[in-house]
Amino acid sequence: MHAGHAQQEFAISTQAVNNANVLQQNASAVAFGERNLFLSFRSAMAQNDQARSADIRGLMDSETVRAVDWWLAKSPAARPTSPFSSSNPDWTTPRRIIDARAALDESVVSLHSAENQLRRSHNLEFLEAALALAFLTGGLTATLGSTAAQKVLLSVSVVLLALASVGLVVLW
Amino acid sequence: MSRGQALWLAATALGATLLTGCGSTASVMPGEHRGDGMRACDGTIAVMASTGSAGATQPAAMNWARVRLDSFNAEHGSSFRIEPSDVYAEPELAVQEAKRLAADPSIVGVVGPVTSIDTEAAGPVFDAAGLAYVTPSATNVELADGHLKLFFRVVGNNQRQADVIARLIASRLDPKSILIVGGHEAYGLDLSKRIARGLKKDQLEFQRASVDIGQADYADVVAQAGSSRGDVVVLALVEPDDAQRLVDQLHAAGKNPTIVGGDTLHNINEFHATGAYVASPAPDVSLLEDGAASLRLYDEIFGDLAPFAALSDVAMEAVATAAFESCRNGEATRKGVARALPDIRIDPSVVGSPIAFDADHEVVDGRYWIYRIEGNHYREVM
Repeated sequence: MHAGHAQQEFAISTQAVNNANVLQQNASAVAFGERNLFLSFRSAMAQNDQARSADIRGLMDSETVRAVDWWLAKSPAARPTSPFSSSNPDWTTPRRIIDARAALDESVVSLHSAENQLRRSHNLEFLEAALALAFLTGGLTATLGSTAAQKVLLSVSVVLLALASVGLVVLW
Repeated sequence: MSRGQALWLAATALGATLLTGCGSTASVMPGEHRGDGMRACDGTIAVMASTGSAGATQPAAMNWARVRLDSFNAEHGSSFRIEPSDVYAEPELAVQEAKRLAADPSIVGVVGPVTSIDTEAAGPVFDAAGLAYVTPSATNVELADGHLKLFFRVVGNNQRQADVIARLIASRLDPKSILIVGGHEAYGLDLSKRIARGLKKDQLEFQRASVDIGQADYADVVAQAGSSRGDVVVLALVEPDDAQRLVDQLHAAGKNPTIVGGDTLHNINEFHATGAYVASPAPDVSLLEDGAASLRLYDEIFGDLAPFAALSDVAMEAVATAAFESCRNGEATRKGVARALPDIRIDPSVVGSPIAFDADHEVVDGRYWIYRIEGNHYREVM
């Protein structure tokens, strides 16, 4: 059961890492895209091409539009060189990147935990095998007629039990 | 086989089967849930620093503060907003901006101002409005003498900086001559005075010169300065551009003294005199676990690295923590922030050491490092 849980957890964590990676790539792509759109928008504005600037503005998502509007409302001398500046409270990309990074960090922690669980489950399986062998050899003593043979088999069983106990302490 | 033997065999076989089939039933440890301690809290935190408008000082302090605020919101579930106040070494503008921020009731605390002259100018306005302000970089000692009631700083003061600079000169540079160049403003005057005291204690002789912010021609200083590596020129100037211009003029005159700069020159993009020593109130954060993670995040967002402004991160965390801890009914207040700040403890912080304030609102155990500029990077020397 432990092995099953561990493998399930591992599979979920691996998927979470993949999803978080995709989230992070998306956040970077958003940052790249908004910069490119803004450059085109500014170029259209500079050329007084209102139709084109309106078209480009229409391609921006609502958050980018808010960030650009904040920037446009400032006087040219006092504003940062682009709307995508830390001083722009309406620029939300930093938070997207932070959230993506947090999701990735969290999924990596979860993956490490799942890997640890998987390793423990493998150790447990080894101990289970040793214990099963100990019980089996112990049980077989009852089937033997010779006392000497019974003692040998029982000794093997006890040794295996002891080894399994030590293994439990060391490997768990 | 006797009945007892059969029972023994059956019991052991059952045990073996159960072990093989089921194993342990220990449950899988779930990942840590990040939701603990999250609650809604609103408020606006102003940052008085350069926003990076055309021709201005780069916005590293603003950037670090923003990354910390957004990270804080993500970690705590709060929705604090940033309010920029574009001021760098402009005391008159600092007063105007302080009045604007004071009049905005949504603003509950301030990160900054970033220079001593701005802090001296804006501080009384903030005090009158009950707005606590935490500077990441204003180092003039007198700022914390009690005349600015709600002033806090997360940076060591000029006395600590002067001590380490004097120690560098006395113990490492073996100077033939020393010229201390101080800016004619709160930071430069205070730092140069304290460095001079430190050198006197070490019985080193020196000359002094004074310059203005933005001064174009440093012919007088160039004439006073020694010309060899054994001669030392100490620059206590608030503007890294000014320091770079002065160094360029020294070189143009064929003079190559050893340059030692205050912490404002720990800014490789604006001051890059190879071989110069510069003080820094923070260690190399890229070597620290939390600092390196913050730098990676910073790089992802802004596409460049500016570790010299890492104390803005700490200043923002102090204000945001005070706002969050004093939050009532989902709203932070000025009074709450001002009351909570003296007891704030940030441990660990992005600069490695814990951050807390003493009775004078100075950071506890604030210290300085000395770096040598080597090409495009710094090497720690003290």
